[in-house]
Amino acid sequence: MRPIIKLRGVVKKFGNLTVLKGIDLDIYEGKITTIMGLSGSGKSVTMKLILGLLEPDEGEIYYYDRKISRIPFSERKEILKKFGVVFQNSALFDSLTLFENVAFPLREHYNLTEEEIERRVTHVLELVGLKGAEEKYPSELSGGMRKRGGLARALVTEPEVMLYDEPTTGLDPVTGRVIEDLIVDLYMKYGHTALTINHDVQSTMRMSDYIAFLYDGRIEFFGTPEEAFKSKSIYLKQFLEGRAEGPIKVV
Amino acid sequence: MELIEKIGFYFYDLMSIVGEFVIFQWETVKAFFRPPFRWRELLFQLEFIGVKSWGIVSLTGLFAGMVIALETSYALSLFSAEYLIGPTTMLALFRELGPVLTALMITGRAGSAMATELGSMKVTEQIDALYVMAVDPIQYLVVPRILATIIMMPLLTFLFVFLGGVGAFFVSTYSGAVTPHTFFSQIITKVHNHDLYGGLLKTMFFGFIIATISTYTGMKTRGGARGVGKSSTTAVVLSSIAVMVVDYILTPFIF
Ligand SMILES: Nc1ncnc2c1ncn2[C@@H]1O[C@H](COP(=O)(O)OP(=O)(O)O)[C@@H](O)[C@H]1O
Ligand SMILES: [Mg+2]
Repeated sequence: MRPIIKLRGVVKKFGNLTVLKGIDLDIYEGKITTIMGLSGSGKSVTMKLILGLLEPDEGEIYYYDRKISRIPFSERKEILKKFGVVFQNSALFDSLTLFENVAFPLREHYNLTEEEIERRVTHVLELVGLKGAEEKYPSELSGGMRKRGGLARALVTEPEVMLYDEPTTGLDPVTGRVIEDLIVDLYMKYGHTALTINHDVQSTMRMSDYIAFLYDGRIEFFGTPEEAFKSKSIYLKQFLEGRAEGPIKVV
Repeated sequence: MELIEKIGFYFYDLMSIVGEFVIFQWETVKAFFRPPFRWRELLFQLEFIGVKSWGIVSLTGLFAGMVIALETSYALSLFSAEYLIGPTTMLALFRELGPVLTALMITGRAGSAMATELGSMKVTEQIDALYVMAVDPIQYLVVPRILATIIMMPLLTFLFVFLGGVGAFFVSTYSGAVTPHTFFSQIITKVHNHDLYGGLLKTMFFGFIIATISTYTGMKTRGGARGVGKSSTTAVVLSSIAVMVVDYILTPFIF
């Protein structure tokens, strides 16, 4: 079992706010890893650092053994094509129909015939349960449907790593559960690596192979869900139990 | 001491924003020449900025020409020089009013739209989405808008000046201040090609300035719907000021 993505000593500051204070994190190949933490603890920042949307102030990030922090966009493109990203609010292009949104990465990077594009787009839309909505614009879709649309667009290139930023946040519990199951189904079907961000404890425990708990700019805990329940970390304990009183300082 | 410190910090912030903007302009110019070229996006922007602006540019041009003719004919009548209405109006239109007023109209119509559109794409993570799909947002979103503005500004300015001339012609001949013949013959002897070319060259600079400021402001948007509104206002204000300042700086070099 080897890590596909590695963070080593990663520090990220915004002005005089230090969000990450030196993080080491391994994302294992073919597993589902979830980053948990309070809101504002730097979960999205961590994901953006991996993607190169932000650059670390210190430390390095690797894709296998290749350094991917502070590299020019021309080099990063190759790495980005191996990633599929599902954004917190889907980030579908509102000027394009659902079909064109999902076809977008295929048209950009692959030299496919129109029939092949149509076949692949229809296939993923069917997988995420959006068959028949091809010609709709994002504004005409419900929150759950947009989430599925974002998922389809990320999936259509069959990436090695899928990254999900709070895939179930903002959805009702039932839709949230459906999306969670979908993420696991797709993971089983495609065998990719998955990195998800989640602050829902139950759903994290159900779906994750590994959990990284981010607290106060550090990885306070890393391990399996079973290990998480046995952990001695008082912060993780309070978080898992969802108590308001305890050592965690909420700002 | 505290005041000096504050001014120091303020100046530092200002300089770092200006520095970042200049780097953005440089990155953009480099991206002009780097494939893939986004023809489809460029065509779409040409249509949005050019075709959809010709109505308001014609209308403002017509009225600008009419009112300038009216005012200059009064001023010229003070020294019985009404026969100069044609060239006076046309020189003002070619060299200054055409380029500047067209630039301001395009700022209001297209600049604010660019900042709003890119701003809302930014806050809804659509720009991040482009990036992670390995598409350079500068190349995909910014370059087509800037090129389209640079291409369309001279054409729209020409339209503005042409209709301004038509308006001036009717106002000054209808009032009897000049005959049609004097109007035209005076223009032909006193207005030269370089007045027109200089003006059109200026508008290309204006186009670059307006579009880079507006797209930059859009790309830097933060903070939801309110941030988007703020970006739109900022883009219009900064572009308008920049057009005036750049006009003053460029004019002695161009003519
Ligand atoms: N681009 C940015 N500029 C300044 N501050 C930022 C930026 N992105 C995130 N932050 C700050 O970093 C902290 C962590 O943010 P984030 O990673 O989004 O939290 P979360 O764990 O909820 O995803 C927050 O305090 C946020 O305000
Ligand atoms: Mg977040």
